[in-house]
Amino acid sequence: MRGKILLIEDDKDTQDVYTEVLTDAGYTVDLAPDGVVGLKKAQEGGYDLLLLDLMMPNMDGLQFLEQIKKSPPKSKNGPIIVLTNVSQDSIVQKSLDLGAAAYFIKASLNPDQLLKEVRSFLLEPEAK
Amino acid sequence: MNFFKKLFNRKGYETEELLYLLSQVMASSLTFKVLTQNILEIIKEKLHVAKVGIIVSDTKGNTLREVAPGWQTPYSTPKEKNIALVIELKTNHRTVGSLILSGKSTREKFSSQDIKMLNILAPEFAVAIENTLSYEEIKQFNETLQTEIKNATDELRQANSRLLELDRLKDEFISIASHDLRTPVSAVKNFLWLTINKESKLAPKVRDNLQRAYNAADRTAMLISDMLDVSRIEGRRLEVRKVPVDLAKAFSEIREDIDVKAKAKKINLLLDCPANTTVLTDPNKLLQIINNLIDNAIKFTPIGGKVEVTTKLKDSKIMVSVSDTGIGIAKEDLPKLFTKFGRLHSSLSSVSEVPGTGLGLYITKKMLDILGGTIEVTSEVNKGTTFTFTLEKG
Repeated sequence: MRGKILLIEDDKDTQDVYTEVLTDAGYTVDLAPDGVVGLKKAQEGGYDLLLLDLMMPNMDGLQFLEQIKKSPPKSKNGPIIVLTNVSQDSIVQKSLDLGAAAYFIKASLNPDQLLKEVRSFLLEPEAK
Repeated sequence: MNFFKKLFNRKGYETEELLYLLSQVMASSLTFKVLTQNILEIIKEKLHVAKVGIIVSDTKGNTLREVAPGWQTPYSTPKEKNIALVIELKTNHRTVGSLILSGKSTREKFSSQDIKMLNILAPEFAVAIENTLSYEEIKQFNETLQTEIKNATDELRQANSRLLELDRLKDEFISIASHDLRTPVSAVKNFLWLTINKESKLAPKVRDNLQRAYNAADRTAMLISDMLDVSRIEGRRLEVRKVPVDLAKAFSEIREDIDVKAKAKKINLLLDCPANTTVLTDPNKLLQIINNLIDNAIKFTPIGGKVEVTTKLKDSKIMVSVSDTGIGIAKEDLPKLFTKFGRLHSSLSSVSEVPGTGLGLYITKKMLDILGGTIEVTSEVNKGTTFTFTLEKG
C-alpha cells in the first residue's frame, strides 16, 4: 500500500493516537515533534501526505508552510493537510493560501473520520 | 475730529496728528500690551512727558495690570516723587484704572489744553483698554476650551485604545483558551474512541459507559466550536469569502458526513439538487449551515422517518428547504427558535436526550445574515418541520 505519511505534531497524545490509527491502517508514519524537524524531513521529500499541526514550538505550522513554499523539497511530497485546534477564519484562510490542501479541527475529527480523509487524499492526491 | 479741532487748534498744538495717531492705535491694537505701549509712546513723545504709565485696577482699587516703564513702584513710595498728573480712566460703567504722568521733560507745566485733551481722551482709553481686556479674556477662555477639548479628546482616545487592547486580549484569550480546551478534549475523545473501537473484550456495561463518556466529550467539542462561532459573530469577526459553489457537489459531500447518522436512525435521507446549480457563497459556512439543519432534522425525527433537502430557483435566489417528519415545533416556540440558547422549553422534556448546545440555529441565522440570505421555518406539531433558506445564485 502506498502511503508514507509525515506527522508534524508536538502534542504527545495526538502523536500516539494518530500514529496508532494510521499504522494500523497500513500506512508508514514518520514523526516530527516540531516545525523545524518537520521542515528538515519534508525538504528531503518523498512523503505521500503531510499532516501538519499549527501551534508548535520553534516553528509553527504557518511558518512551516511559508518555508516549504520558499524552498521546495528535493523530491516531491503529497498534499499537506492542516490538523489543528485553532479555528480563526483568518488562520484557516492563511494556511490554505500558503498551500495547505485542507484544514480540519482535531477536536471535531474522530480517528475513523481522519482515516477517511487520509484515504481520500492518498487515492486522488490532485483531486482536492 | 472737527470737534477736537475746534477745541485745540487755538494754540497750534499738533492736536490733529496726535488724535489721529491715538485713534489709529485704539482701533488697531487688539492686545492690552500693544495698546498700552502705543498709547504711552505717543503721549510721551507728543506731550514731551518724561514718564507715562497706565495702571489697571479692579472695582475695589486693587492693581490688576500696570504698564509703567521707568517708574518706581509702588508709586506711593517716597522714592517716587515725580507724579505730576493722574487722570482717571473711566468708562460709563466703571473706573478701569489711571493714567499717570511725570513732569514734562521740557520742565514746562502741563497746559490747560493738555489737561483738557487728556480728560477728553481718558474715557476713550478706558473703553479701548476694557476691550483689549475682554478680548484677552475671550482668547483665554477659548484657549482653555481648546485645552479642555484636547484633554477630553485625548482621554477618549486613550480610553478607546484601552478598549481596543482589551478587545484584542479578549480575542487572544478566547482563541488560546479554545485551543487549549480542544487539545485535551481531543485526547479524551480519541483515547475513548480507540478503546471502544479497538477493544473487542469490553463488558457491555463498560462499553456503554465509555460510549457515553465519548458522547459527552464530543458534545464538549461541539460546544467549544459553537461558542467560538458565537464569539466571532458577536465580535463581528466572522469572515466570509463568497465564491461560486457547485451545490450538487456540496450536497454529496454533506451526504458522506451525515449518512451514518441517518442510517443509525433508519431515516430516509433525500438530497435533491439539479445538476449545474451554482450558488455564490462561502463553501465552509454553507456546509456548516446545511449540516446543522440536517443534523437537527435527524435529531428531532423519530426512527424510520424522512428528511428531505430540496432546492428551487425563485426570483434569482436559490431556495434550499430541509424538511423532516419529526416532532415539530409549537407555534408559540417559533419566535425564540433563532435566539441564543433558544432550545425550546415545551419540547425539552421529550428531547432532553438529544444532544445539542442550543446555539446551532442562532449561528445558522447569523451566518445567513452575513452571507446575505434569509431563513424561515414552518412547522406542525407531530407532523414535521421545514426550514427554508436562500442563497445567492452564482
